[in-house]
Amino acid sequence: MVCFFIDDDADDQEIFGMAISEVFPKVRCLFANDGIEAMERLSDPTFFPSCIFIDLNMPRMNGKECLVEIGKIERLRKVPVFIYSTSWDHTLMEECKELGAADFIVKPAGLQALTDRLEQIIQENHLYE
Amino acid sequence: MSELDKRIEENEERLRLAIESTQLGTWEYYPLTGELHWSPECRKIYGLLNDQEVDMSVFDEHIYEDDKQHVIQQIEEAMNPAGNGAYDVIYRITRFDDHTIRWIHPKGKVYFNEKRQPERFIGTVVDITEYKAFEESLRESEQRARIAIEAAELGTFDWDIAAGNYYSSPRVMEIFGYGNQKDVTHDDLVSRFHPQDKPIRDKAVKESIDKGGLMYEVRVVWSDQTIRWIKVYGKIIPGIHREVRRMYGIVMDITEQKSQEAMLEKLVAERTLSLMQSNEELKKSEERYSKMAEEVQDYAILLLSTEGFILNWNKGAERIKGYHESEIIGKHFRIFYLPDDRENRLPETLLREATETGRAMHEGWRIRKDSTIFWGSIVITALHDAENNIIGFTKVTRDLTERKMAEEQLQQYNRELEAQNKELEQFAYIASHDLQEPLRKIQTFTEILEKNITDEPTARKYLERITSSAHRMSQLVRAVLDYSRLSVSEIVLEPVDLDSVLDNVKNDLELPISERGAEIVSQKLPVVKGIPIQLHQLFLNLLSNAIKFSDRAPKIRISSRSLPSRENSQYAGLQPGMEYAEIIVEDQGIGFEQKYASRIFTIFQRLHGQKAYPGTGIGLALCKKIVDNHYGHIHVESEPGKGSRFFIYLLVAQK
Repeated sequence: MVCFFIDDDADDQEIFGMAISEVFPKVRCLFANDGIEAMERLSDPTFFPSCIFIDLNMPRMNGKECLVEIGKIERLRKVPVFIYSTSWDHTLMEECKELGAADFIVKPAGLQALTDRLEQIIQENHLYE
Repeated sequence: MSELDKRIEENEERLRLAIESTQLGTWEYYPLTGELHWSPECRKIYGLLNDQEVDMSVFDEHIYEDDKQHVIQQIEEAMNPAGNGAYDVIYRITRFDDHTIRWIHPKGKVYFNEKRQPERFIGTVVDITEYKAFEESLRESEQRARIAIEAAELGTFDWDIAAGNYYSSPRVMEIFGYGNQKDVTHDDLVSRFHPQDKPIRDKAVKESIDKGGLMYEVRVVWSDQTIRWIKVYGKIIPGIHREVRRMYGIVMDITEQKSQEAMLEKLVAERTLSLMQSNEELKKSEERYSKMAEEVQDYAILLLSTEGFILNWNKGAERIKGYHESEIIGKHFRIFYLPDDRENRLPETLLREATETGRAMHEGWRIRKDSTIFWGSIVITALHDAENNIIGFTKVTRDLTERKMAEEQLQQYNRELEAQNKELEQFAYIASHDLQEPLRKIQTFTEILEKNITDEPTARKYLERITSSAHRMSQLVRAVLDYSRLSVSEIVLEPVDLDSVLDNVKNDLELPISERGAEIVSQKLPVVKGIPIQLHQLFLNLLSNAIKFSDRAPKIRISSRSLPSRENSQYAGLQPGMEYAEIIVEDQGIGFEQKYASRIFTIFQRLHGQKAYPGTGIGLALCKKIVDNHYGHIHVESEPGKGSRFFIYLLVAQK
């Protein structure tokens, strides 16, 4: 299983990596620092992640723009894209869901909280190894 | 021939000559023998040649048919022995030669013999055709005059004072109110003159001797007290002692004419009066109006020619625009417009609009004589003559600078309020996101630390991460505080020398400058209106960014120029008509795509990852806020890999 995580914050990349490994010990997590870098990576047709997580607040191409761009790639149509953000603004959440996001994850405080949330997501979206 | 006979002959000859010279024809007729003799003059009248024989049949023949019976009767009567033998008849003949009809007047006498038989019939004849024609024309003209007199209902009179005869036509009696009464004397008529008008008549009579004519208009009073106006035209025949011998003429009733005249006169008088009154009113109102326009202080009221030249000037215009009447009349009104508006032909456009639609309205900055500007609200109205041709324009200008300022102040407040609202939102955003972020990390790392508390190297690593997050937290809090401090509403601008500001900033940045090997080149910078500490912050942020966002030794250039005032409107936030300096801070750093140019001035918007270029995301938002506080403007031009150019506009301090 391959997980693609897009976030400009190095700390968050590390934290997310730790959490997803707790849920799927055999997971391979790949990182991108912003939308531009992510799109470059996704332009490779052999790259086929099982799920994608995007931070909203990023320089250059932000999360929402990135979400729209991913939606344009036919190959990734069935790949669930999750928004991963500090924001808990409901209108923003709804907006992202309309743009094609499978779900919206508010960055929780603490590693255990994140692990629990990820487990829930995986069950709901039937993402198993 | 006896002496007597001779003398008789001589006398006869003289008589014949005398008769011939009077064109009098003579004839002799002897009824007993039928002998008839015509003198040559007589033959001439009849159109008969001298040698032609005449007898009674010839005589009969020439009598005009209609008169024949009458003539024969007259002749018979003359030859009647019972009568006195006199013959005097007027009749027509047809002349022998040209067959024209002539009137003749023979006069004669019949002599009888002892047996009372007519023996000799002699007489004279004269051609009276001309006289007859004259008489006829006289009769006709008299008739015409009578018809005219009757038709015009004129009365006629003839007063022969010398002979004591007075005649007046029945119409005169009517006019004087005597109807068809008979035996009306001249005195009766005179008694009817209106007592007040008698002198008029007496005077007219007196003067008529010199004038030769009589003319007067007087009233007559009828017995029933009806008053009629009469007019008398007459002729005077004076005597040798300049007395009036005879007076004749016509009388007419002019009462109706008079009353019409009177009515007309009354009408004319009324019209004249009302015309005079309205003229007076018009004059007064014109005076009032021009006085009013002249005295109005709050409005400039001008009259413009069709081409836009100033024709008059009031106190308001002098007050608002500063020119005295004597120095502005005759100038074109474009003088009040800003150079830009003049170039764009705004005055001409307004005149054209007023010409086409009757009126043009506009609001904008205008120049006074002393080069200061004011916010003018103008209305130009086209003036038309009776044929609807445009004869000029009125231009009313109000100085609404205060209102404009108040409006702008209000807009400024609105903008400030909006900005503050936006900031508040951003603060909420910061609270929820950016300030939360280090906190969330601290919590997470604490949890990891807890799990690995026995593993000292791991525990130490996460402790460091916690410390770093806490440090970032405090950095953010301080930056937010700095930013919020800029929102202080009371702003007093003082002259600030940007050169010394730059020197101080370079001092503050001494360490990074030497570390990165940065080169800062600057021109002479102006003295601007500002808050020293904020301008220091502005340049500090810009220069530290320029040093930070560079992948080699930073090269920074600072230049400035004075901004032409017409360019003020190109940049949001600049005050119209004020003098600005444009300061350019240019680097050769990493730059960014131009599409992010506006985003970078928003708080916490970052274009670069935290790892490569650490920062709070507040620096440029601060710069923007500072420039806003200075009624200035900031924008940026950038290209990735080439560098960025920041343009800052600040008010120039007046020397």
